[in-house]
Amino acid sequence: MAHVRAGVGADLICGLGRPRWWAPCQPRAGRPPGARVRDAGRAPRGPTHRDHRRPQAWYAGNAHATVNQRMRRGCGQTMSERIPLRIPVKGSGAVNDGRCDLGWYGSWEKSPPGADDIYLYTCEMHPAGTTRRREVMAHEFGHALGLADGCIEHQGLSYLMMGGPDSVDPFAGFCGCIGPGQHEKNDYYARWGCLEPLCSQPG
Amino acid sequence: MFATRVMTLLGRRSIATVLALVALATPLVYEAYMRSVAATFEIRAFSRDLSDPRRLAGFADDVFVGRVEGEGRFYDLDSTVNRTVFPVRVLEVLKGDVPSADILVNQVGGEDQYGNVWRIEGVPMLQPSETYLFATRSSGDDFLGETATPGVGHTLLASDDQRRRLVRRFRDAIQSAIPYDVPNPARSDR
Repeated sequence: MAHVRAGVGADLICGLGRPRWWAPCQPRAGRPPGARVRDAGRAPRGPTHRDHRRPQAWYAGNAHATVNQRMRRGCGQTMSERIPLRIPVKGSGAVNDGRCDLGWYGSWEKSPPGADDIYLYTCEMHPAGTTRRREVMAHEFGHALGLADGCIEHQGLSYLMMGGPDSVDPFAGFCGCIGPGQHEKNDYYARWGCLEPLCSQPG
Repeated sequence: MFATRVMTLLGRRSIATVLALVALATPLVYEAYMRSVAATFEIRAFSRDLSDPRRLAGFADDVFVGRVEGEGRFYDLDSTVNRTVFPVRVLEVLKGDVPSADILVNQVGGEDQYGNVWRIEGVPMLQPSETYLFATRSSGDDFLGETATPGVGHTLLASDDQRRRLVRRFRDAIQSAIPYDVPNPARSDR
């Protein structure tokens, strides 16, 4: 099972290893729903385009990139808004604990004091196909970003988090979605805000 | 040099007293701190839909009726999701080869000694003295025992009538079980 500890925030980035003075690894409180933040990208330094070339800047595969690529279409001038979440991976990033008893691909653990936890279960993930793996990763990142929290009433609109119109399983369903639907995009903008006037045409 | 001066000023007996007090107070302060920062951790899982009894019967190694015999014991597993382990008396086996005696059944979640709570939203913890229909997979660990499938692996049997109906339903489901394509390696040992 791979254990990933995720620091979540519009401009909070936890680097791999020890926090550094120029990129402090400290959780920031989420903005209230509906808040529009004009200077979302100016507050403490987030990653820049140079971070892509740093070996210690690990990104968790294409699922992460796809979520952000799709989300950034209507929002974000700098890389700070385009990459709201980076995952420092502990150890080798994949530890099989030898258990196949849960039937879970992945899980997300909400941690009130700080960074959330994302677990990936190698028992199910190894035999899974690429699309399913991306779907799982995108889904767990969606939890960490606060998308579709408690929005069962929006079922059918929230594809990535609820599994699409045919799903009746509140845990999760599968739709092959590796990117957010419109409702999830709205959740994202409502929670984290973005630069005006680019917010006017999200997605 | 400094220590000598301090000892001269206070005397050895005083220093010993202070050290003893610190040693005694440290665990109490630690526990008080841990209790003050205790929190609730909500777990959400990405899994296959096992709400259909046929799928659940295909996934589970064992399906049985059992009564929870005592309080749960919390296991902090650090790198995996924490569990609470309950002693369960097996009353009726529908599938598998669980012994018709006392076994251990673990459930994801629970509460540790400081008041930290791990829970899956909408999934109640097992209650002592209650009878459930369990659908479990073997964890492969002696101290964890059987794992109740999260969310759908334990159903409270409130009455004999409900028990009869559910047992009949699961016997049918086991007959027409939909196989699960990821085998449980812990099961091959048995």
